[in-house]
Order: sequence, then C-alpha cells, then structure tokens
Amino acid sequence: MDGFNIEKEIKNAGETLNKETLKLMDKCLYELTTTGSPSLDDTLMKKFKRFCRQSDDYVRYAFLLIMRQLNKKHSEIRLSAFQVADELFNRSHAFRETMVNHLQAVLALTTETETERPLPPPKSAAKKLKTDALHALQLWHDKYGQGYKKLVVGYNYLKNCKHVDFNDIRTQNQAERQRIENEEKRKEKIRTDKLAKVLKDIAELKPEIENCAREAESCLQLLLPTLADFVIPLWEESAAADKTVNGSSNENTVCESQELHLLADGGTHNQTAATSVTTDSRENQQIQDLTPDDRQAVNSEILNGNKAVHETSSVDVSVSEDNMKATPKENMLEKDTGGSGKHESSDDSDADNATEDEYEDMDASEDNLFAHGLPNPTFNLVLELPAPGPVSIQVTTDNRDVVCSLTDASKLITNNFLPQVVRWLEILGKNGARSEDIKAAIDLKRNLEDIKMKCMDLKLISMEQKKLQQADISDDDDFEEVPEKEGYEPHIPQHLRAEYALKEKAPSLLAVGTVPLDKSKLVSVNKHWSLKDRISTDNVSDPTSLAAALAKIKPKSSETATKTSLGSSSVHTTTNSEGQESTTVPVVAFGTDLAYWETPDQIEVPTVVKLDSLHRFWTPSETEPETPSQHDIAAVKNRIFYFTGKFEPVKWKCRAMMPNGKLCERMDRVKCPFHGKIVPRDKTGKPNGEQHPSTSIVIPGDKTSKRSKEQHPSTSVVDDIKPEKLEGNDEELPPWQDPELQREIELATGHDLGSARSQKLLDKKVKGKGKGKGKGKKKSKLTNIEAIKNTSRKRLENRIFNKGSMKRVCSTLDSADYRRVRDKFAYQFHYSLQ
Amino acid sequence: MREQNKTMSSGIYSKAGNPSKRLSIAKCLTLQSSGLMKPLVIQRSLTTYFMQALELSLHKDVQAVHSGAVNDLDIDATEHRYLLSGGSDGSLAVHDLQDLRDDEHNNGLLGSKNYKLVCSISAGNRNAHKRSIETVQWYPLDTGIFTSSGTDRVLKIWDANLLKTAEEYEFSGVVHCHDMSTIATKHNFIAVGTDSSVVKLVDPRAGSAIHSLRGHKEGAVRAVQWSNRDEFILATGGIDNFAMLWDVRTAKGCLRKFQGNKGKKKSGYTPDTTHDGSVNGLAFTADGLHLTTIGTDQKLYMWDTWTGKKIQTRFPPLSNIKKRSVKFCLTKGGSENFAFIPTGSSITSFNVWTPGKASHLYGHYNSVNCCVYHEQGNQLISGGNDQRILVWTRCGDRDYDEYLCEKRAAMIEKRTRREEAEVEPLEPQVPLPEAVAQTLDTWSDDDDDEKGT
Repeated sequence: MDGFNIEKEIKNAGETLNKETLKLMDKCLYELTTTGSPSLDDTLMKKFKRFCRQSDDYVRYAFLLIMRQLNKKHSEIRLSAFQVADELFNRSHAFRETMVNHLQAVLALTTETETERPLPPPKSAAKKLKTDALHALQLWHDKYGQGYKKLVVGYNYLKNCKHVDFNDIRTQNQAERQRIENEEKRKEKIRTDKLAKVLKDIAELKPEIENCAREAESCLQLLLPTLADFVIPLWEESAAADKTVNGSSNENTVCESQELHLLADGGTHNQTAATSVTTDSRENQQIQDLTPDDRQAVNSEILNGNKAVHETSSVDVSVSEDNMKATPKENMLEKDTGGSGKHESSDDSDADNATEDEYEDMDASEDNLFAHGLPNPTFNLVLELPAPGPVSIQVTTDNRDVVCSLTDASKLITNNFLPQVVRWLEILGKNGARSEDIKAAIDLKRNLEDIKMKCMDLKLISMEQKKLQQADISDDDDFEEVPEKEGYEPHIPQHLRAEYALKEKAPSLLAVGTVPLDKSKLVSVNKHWSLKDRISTDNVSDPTSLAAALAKIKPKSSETATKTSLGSSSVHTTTNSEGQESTTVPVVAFGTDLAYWETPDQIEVPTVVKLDSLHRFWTPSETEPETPSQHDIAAVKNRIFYFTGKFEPVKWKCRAMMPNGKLCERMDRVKCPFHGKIVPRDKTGKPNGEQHPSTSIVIPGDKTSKRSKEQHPSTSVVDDIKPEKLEGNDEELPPWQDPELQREIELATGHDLGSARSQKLLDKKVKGKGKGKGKGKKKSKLTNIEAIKNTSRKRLENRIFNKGSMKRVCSTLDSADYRRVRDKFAYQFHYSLQ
Repeated sequence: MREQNKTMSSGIYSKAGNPSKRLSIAKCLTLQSSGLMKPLVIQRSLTTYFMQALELSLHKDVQAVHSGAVNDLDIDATEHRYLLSGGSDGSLAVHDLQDLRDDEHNNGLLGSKNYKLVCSISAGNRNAHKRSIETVQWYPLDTGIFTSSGTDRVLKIWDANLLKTAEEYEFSGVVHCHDMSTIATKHNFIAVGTDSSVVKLVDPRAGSAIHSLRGHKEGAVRAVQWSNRDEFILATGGIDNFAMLWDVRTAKGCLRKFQGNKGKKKSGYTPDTTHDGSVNGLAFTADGLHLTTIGTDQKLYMWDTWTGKKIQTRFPPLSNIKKRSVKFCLTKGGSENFAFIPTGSSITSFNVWTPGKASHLYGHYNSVNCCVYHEQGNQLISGGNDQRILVWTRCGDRDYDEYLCEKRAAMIEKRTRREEAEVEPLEPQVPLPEAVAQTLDTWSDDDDDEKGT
C-alpha cells in the first residue's frame, strides 16, 4: 500500500461528506466488526449498507473504514471486516474498483501472502479468515473477472506465484507444503532407521530367544508331562463318540447349562454344585462323558488351591474306572467345594449339619437301585479333568537342576525377552513393517507368553520353603514384618486401659450393623459369640462399658440438640438418627471424657516425668510432680469428630461454549477447571443474566444446615435463621445465586435451595437497575488475545526485562566494573609510588 | 532545429496546457487545417492525453513467459516494436508490440488479447545468464543486436537473429547497469556500472573495456545514462550519494558533480551531495537539458545540465526506493511529459514540469521493478516481481469496450431487420458486454425496503 495512508485518506474523505453520517457509519462498522462471532449481524449489516447506498463517496469511505479494521491485530475483527467487504463487493462498482485497486494490501492482511506479516492471534479465526478470503477471491474472479483486470492479475498472481491451489480451497501455500513434505521425509527416514535397527536386533536376538524358549519348554516337559501323554487313546475315542467340549469359556457355559438341566433331573445334586461349576468356568475344563448311553457322568471336580490340593489327577482316573463307587464320594467332594465359599474354616457347625441332611436325602433315593446293583438311569456323573493348571512341584534333589534351569529361563523370558519382543512389536507396528516380520514377532511373543503362563501356573516349591512349611504349616507368611510403630507402647498406663479395651470392641460393634447374619445360622452359634447378648448382659454400672455410655447419652440427646452450635450439630445428627436406623450408624469409640463423664474434674492427665538432671547417678531426691496445665486437660477432654457429610452427586454441567461449538460436559461441583465457576447458561452456552459469572451453587455448609433443618423440624428454630444470616444480612440476591439453576438443581436433588426467594430478589434487582453493564460486555465479545500471550514466560520476561530492573542490574554491574577499574588504578598508583 | 522546436513546444505548452480539456480534437483539427495550429502540436497534445488516467488494460496483455521476476524492459528505438525483457532467473524474451492476437489461454475471458512472444532465451539455455539479469538494452540502430548484463558479472552482446551471444565481457563485480548512447555516431561505447567505483567504457569494436572513469568514491555505481543531446556526455550515479556528469573525451575527471544543498547544510559533517542516499536512477529529460536523479532518500531531483543547479520544484515524495538501480522512465513525446517511477507495488506518476499530486497505479502484486512508456502504442508497460508484464492504457480501454458493444448491437440490429422485415421492428435490446455488465451496481431490493422503514 504505497502512498496510501488510511488515516489520512479517511480524514480527506471526511471533509466532503456529511459528518453525522460518517460518524454513524464508523460506529456501525465498529459494532459489526467487534462482535467476535464468525458471522455478521444482519440488521447491522443492512444498516451499514443503507449508509453506503447514498453515494459512491460513502462507499469509498466505507472501504477506508474497512481497511482500518482490517489493519487491526485481531483476526476476529479482520474476519468480520472482510465479510463486510465481501458483502459490499458484491453490491457496488465503486467499492469493487477501490477494493481491486488495493487488493494486494487486502490480500496481505487476509490471506497471509507476505511471510513476514502473519495473521494475528486467535488461530481459529485466522484460519477461517484465510480460507474465506481465498474462497471469496475465487468467487469474485469468476463473477467479476472481466470487468476488473487487477482482480484477474491478483488471482493469477496467487495461483502462479504464491501457488495457492484454488481447486482445493484448503489452500496451503507452497512454503507450508514444502515444510510438511520435509517433515514427512524426516519422519520417514527416522522410521526406516528404526525399523532397520529393530530388524537387526531381532535377527541377532532371535536364536537366543528361541533357544531359551526351547530350554524352558523342555524343562517343563520333563517336570510335568502333559495329560495327553497318559490318556491319549481314551480321550480321542470319547471325543469322537460324543461332543467333548473343551476350550473357551463360552462353550463351557453352554455345556454347563445342559449339565444343570441334567442335574435337576437327577435331583441328587443340589444347586451348590452347579454354582461351583459356573464359578470355575474360567478354568479350562475337559468334560468327558464316559458312558453316554446311560447318561451317566461323573462330575468330579478338583479344585485346587487351598482346599483341594490333596486331590490329584490320579484320583480322576480311579473315579472314572468305577463310577458307581465314586458317586457318594464325589458328592461329598462337591459339598465340600460348593460350601467352601461360605464357611471359613473349621468352626462352621451349621454347614456340617446341612451337609449331613443332604447326605441322607440322597441316600434315600439312591439306595434302592444301588442295592440291586443297577445303575441309576437318572444319575449323572460328569467327570471333569482340569487343565494342568497350577500344579505345585516339590523341588527335590532329583529335579533340582531342571527346576533351576527352568526358573532361570523363565526369569530371562519374563524380564528380558518378553518386554523386548513387545517393544519390537510396538515399533514394527508403528513404523509399518512388512507383515511377515510382524507375524514372526507375534509368533515369538505368543510362544514366550505361553511359556511364561506355564511357569506361572507351575508352583515351584523350593526345598528350603518346603522345610519351612513343614515346620510351620499355618499361613504365617501372609503377615509381613512391620517395623514397630512410632509411639507404640507395649505397656498401657492404668487410666488408659479402659480406652484400649473399648477400642477393641468397637469394630465388632460395627460388624453387628453392617454384616447381615443369617438367623438360621445364628441359632446354633454359641451364646458367647453373640455380641448382642454380650452388650445386654454387660454391666451398665461399669462406666467404661458401651452400654453405660449409651444409657447416658440417650436421655441427654434432646437437650444437646437444642444447644448445639453449627459445629456440634453433627453430633446430635448421629445420635438422633440412631433410634431410627441403628444399623447404618457408625459408632465411634469414645475417649476419656466419656469415661469420666460423671466426674469430669477427676480426669488425670498423663504426667511426664522430666528428669532435669541428666547425670547418671546424681539425681534430685524427689522430682516434683508437675501440675497438669489447663491445656493438657483440654487435650484429654476434648473430642474431635470428623464430619464428612453426605456425598451429593453433581447433577449439573459446566456447559460453557467451547471453541468447537459444543458445550463443556464437565460436571464439577463449584468450578470448572477450564471455564471457571459454574454459572447458569442458556442453550448456546452464554451465561444467563447479567450477573457476574461467579457462582457457587451449593456450598457444603449451606447444605448441611439445610439438611439438619429438614431432619429436626421441631428444634430448627435456631437453625433456620442461621443460614439466612450467614448468606447475607441485606435483602439482596448474592451474585452466585440464580433462581433458574437453583430450581433445576432442586428438581434434580430434591433439596430446597430457596429458588423462589432468589427469584423475587432478582425481579426486584432488575427493576431497580437498568443500564450500566454495556461496556464490560463489549470487550468480552471478542476473544481476548492478550490472554494467550499471558504465559508464565511472558510474565517472567516482563518482570526481568522491565526498565527498572534492567537499570538496577546495569548499575550494579557498572559499579562493580568501576570498582574494579578504580582498584586497579589504585594498585598501580600504589606500585608506581614504590 | 532542436532549439527551435524547443521554444515552439514550450510556447504551445504555455498556451494550451491541456488541450484535451480546453480544445476538442475536432477544433484542433480545424485549427490545423486553417494553418493556425501545427500538426506536431496536436500530436503532442494527443500523446499527452493518453499518458493520463492510466489503468490496467482490460484487453491488452503480454504473453506470460517469465518464471521469475521481470527486472528490466526495453523497446527498440528503430521500429518501436519489439519489447525486450530480462528476468531474475536469467531468461530473456522478446515480444512483438504490433502483434496483438486473441489470447488462447485467457481463462474464459472474452476479448482479451496478447502481445505475442517472438523469441525467448530460457533460463536453462547454454548462453543465458547464470543469475539475475539487471539490465537489457537494444542496440540503438538495429534490432539485430541487444545487450544484457546481470549479477553473474557478465555483460553479453547478443545476436538477436541467432539468439546467441556474440560477445561477453566479464567484470570483477556485479553489473548493476549499462547503457549505450542512442544518438552516438562517433563512438560505440557501452558504459558499465559495477560494484567497483570505476565506470568502465566497453568498446565492442575493440572488444574490451578501453576506458575507465574514476571519480566516484568507494562503492558501486548504480546508474549510468548517456545524454540524449551530446554523444560524449555521460551521467553516472553511485552509492557515494553523488551523481556526476562526464565528458568521455577528457580522462582527467568528471565534468560536474551535482551538488545543490548548500543552503540546507545541517552540520559541518555532511558533505554536500546530490542525494542523502545513494543515487539509484538517472534519466535525461526529452530535450536533454535536464537530468532527473532518484535516490534512496526517497526523493527525485531535477538538475540543469548546463549550470549544474537544482531545479527548485517540489516533486512528490517517493517510497520504497530500494538499494538497487531504479528503472524509471520519462516520457518524451508529449506536450507535457510524465515520470513513471516504480515504487514498491505501485507505479508513481506525475507531471515532470508541473508536479501536482502524484497518482499511483496499482496493478502489480509484490514490487514493480521497471516500467517503460511505449509512445507509439500509447501504453505503459511494466514488469514486476509477480512475474508479469502488464500493459497500462488510458482508462483501461473502456472506450474499446464501448466500441465493441456498439458494434455488436449494430450487428444484431441488422440481423433482426433482415430476418423480421415484415414484423414491426422491435426495440433492439442492446446486450451489455460482460465487462460492462459486471461494473454495474447491484444493490438489492430488500435493502430498499429497509430504507423505507
């Protein structure tokens, strides 16, 4: 734009035209371009066009104004200005002429034709501006190319010199494309390098890995021959004869459902067996229907682990050979395993009873046929041979070498090879290696994983461990060695004993509430074990006992409720609700203050004997007993209750407008980390109402007080007033309250937040206030580009490189320099005198 | 004779400053036929008329050849027909300014015509310059020879018919400019300004640089220009801020240094130089009595070559005069002459003798490098960094548009008459040519409604 000064031109143009209109135009355009929205306001645009229609001079003036806006360093302003220009371009010849004359300047400002003048910040707007401008230029060229030569020249210039691809409106200029190409080339090179390196690695390491894998496999083979080695012919036969289901759990469940049906027919097995089967469905099961004609199957299930380790596969074979005999035994086994989910160890007498009962049932039905030596037609016996799953192998001197090499190999595989292979696979996959390489790597990985799994399943019991186990079979090793806790006292002082004793009881009390016990089971339980009985029988007179404490609290509860302040209100909440639902109330162990409830002045403070003299022998004859300070007593007396309140799920969203046009979906209670405090918003994500966007919808304190109000309608006289007072003494709506949102939240949560009241206040406020919010709004419409610049680096720079600090540093350095020079001179002077 | 002409032209100049406005062409013609006005006067005033209100021509175009910036243009002096252009990639092209043909690659535009390419030397040619060409010039007496020089430090003399170099002269520095005298009869020197401060005179007949003119201080010489009045007078301008006048017959030193800022000296330090920046462009006026200089101080001065004094007219300020030689032009044939100076992306033009407000011609994208006025075609031709050579004519040939329009209308009318003789003649609807149609306002009606409210 040579010889073209916008401000000067505007001034010149303004001299001949109507000042008022020009001012209005100026204002109109300013409003149009500072909306920050990607599209123009229709009514404003029409108004602006009406101004322009008056004469060509106004159109030229409009162009100058638009140029002024286009020069602003904000892409949103530029975008809007360009849209106005586009609108006028399609209307007025005069505008077209001036625009085409200055097309280069316009293009420089809108399409980034000059590399040293990039588009200003909001990036999304800049991108849109660029594409829109190029698109518009294309349209203009098609529409007006004949009449305006420079337009054609400009179009060709962009096409030929700047290499803008008009067919593909996405428009990258050549430099950009070049850069991308270079980047891609670089990446490609890196990729190939990586790939080559990995392939080389694979080639080097593969033999080693395979060796290791082979070693591990052969070790496994030696240690644990597979089942197939023993029963190959039988298994194959049966597989041919009947559908033998093994493999995936999916098929298993189908099979089990059939089984369930059969079991129901037989009526001999109870439900527990079936459940045990389903629960163990994950295990790879082999079901062999040995005698399909008779529809008999032996369901032998060997659970391994803690309970049924003693059963080995050899048992299975024996069972299958004489299935008739195996039946009761088998059943018993099932009972054991099925019941094992419930009963813990040896103590369950009730479970024993139950099994006994069922035993008899079954015997009665079977005895008849069994006595005749006939197989029961309805009897099913399903034999399940487990996969060679976790099998423990004892390390003996015979197999120690094998085990050693196996552990070594497995360690090598799990620690080194497997991660390495996984890494290779990752790199190969990412960098687009050939499929053969990837396949080979996957095979390798699968192989290694297989071995790893096998080794993990195989429980190797070393010889030392075995010795240990023999000495101490109990699961002591479940407990870890813990360093002695700080402040742990093996000896508890007399006055604290009571507390400790109670503390032991507290968890058991909790258990009463939380664990629902079966009545039928409890019948047989020893009275000594029943905690309820113990509580009732406990001595009420003993002040340290729970019963006594409860007895004391009950009559007092109503009094305390009326007196309580906000902090202690939580106390009576718990105590009061105890009557309604005692089961859900957590009971907190109480301290010395309750212990000395009736005689509060007798509370002893644990005294600390201070030995003033640090000498070994010479000590004062008697240490004066220290009088406990008031502070210490208070420490003992006071109790701390941590009241956390009830969790309220958040039911509102942030709903702030995001750059991609969606609304923020975050559900935060008070403040969204991206969009600040949560405020009520309309459908487009704009904040409702002209209040300051600062709202905390529910403050916890408010909520608790509200809840307490609901719970004690009788005693809420004091409570009811308090929150009101806290929230605001004057009758004004707090800035964070919005009746609409409150109503929504109320609907969702069912809590009364006082929406009606705030609505009233809002109405009053609106009546009172009319204006005075315009200015802030205007600014906020545009994206704040300063905010982007406001980085920590920038702030630091401002700090460090500001004039004052620079001056200070400079002066310090200068003075240091000066001192050095002066000293030097002084020394020299000194020497010269000598 | 020349003196006589001069006085006459100046006499008319003062009498009928702008004949296009004051006297209609018809009146001028009647005056001429009655012997009251000389034909030369009418010719000059008409030429002047076409120098004003230049716009990009809608119809004329120069066939695109260059794939780099166009750095220099020259029109041959014998026929005024061939346009020589040199590009920044070392390519050369010759266009025929009398061969205006329909454009084949006109991108769907109707009525646009091209000046055809006669021949070209592409950048890959064996003989072509290896680097950017800075100056091209036709041999003044013949179109069989032209010269070119550039940043590859070589001055080449070409055989235009064979398109081969006839002679090459290599210099130690970049050749910024060279010039051959257009009026010389007794010598055939090519003055060459290079990176060194010494101006070399190459005699093609001798086959070497036979003469060097020492006078400029350290630094390059960015402009050389032979006088169009005296064949031995040479003007040079360098980056030592001086413009000098030489008589090539005296080897002692320069004839004159142009110094004119005596009165305005600010402090004792600054020497009295021609410009406050390096002198980048030189041009003699049509009569050869004055020399215009352009400097990087963004100013244009005019000097009296006889007295060496500065002409005290305020010329409009220039802009974007870069640190390279400026290829500007002064028109010669009009009653009022104009200067066309490439300034950045625009061409600044103003009347040389009565410079009022400068007008700017916007058309090039990126910067304009050179411009030359083709008086026989009444058009300005300019080349720029956007690889284009553009043609500027008065009002962009709108008149031609109208003429086309009328012609077409008449044709259609005739045809309808012939076809529908018995049917009563309809009001012939004159179809607007598209170029005209596109330049109409199209305010929509819904805005009208808005207006009423």
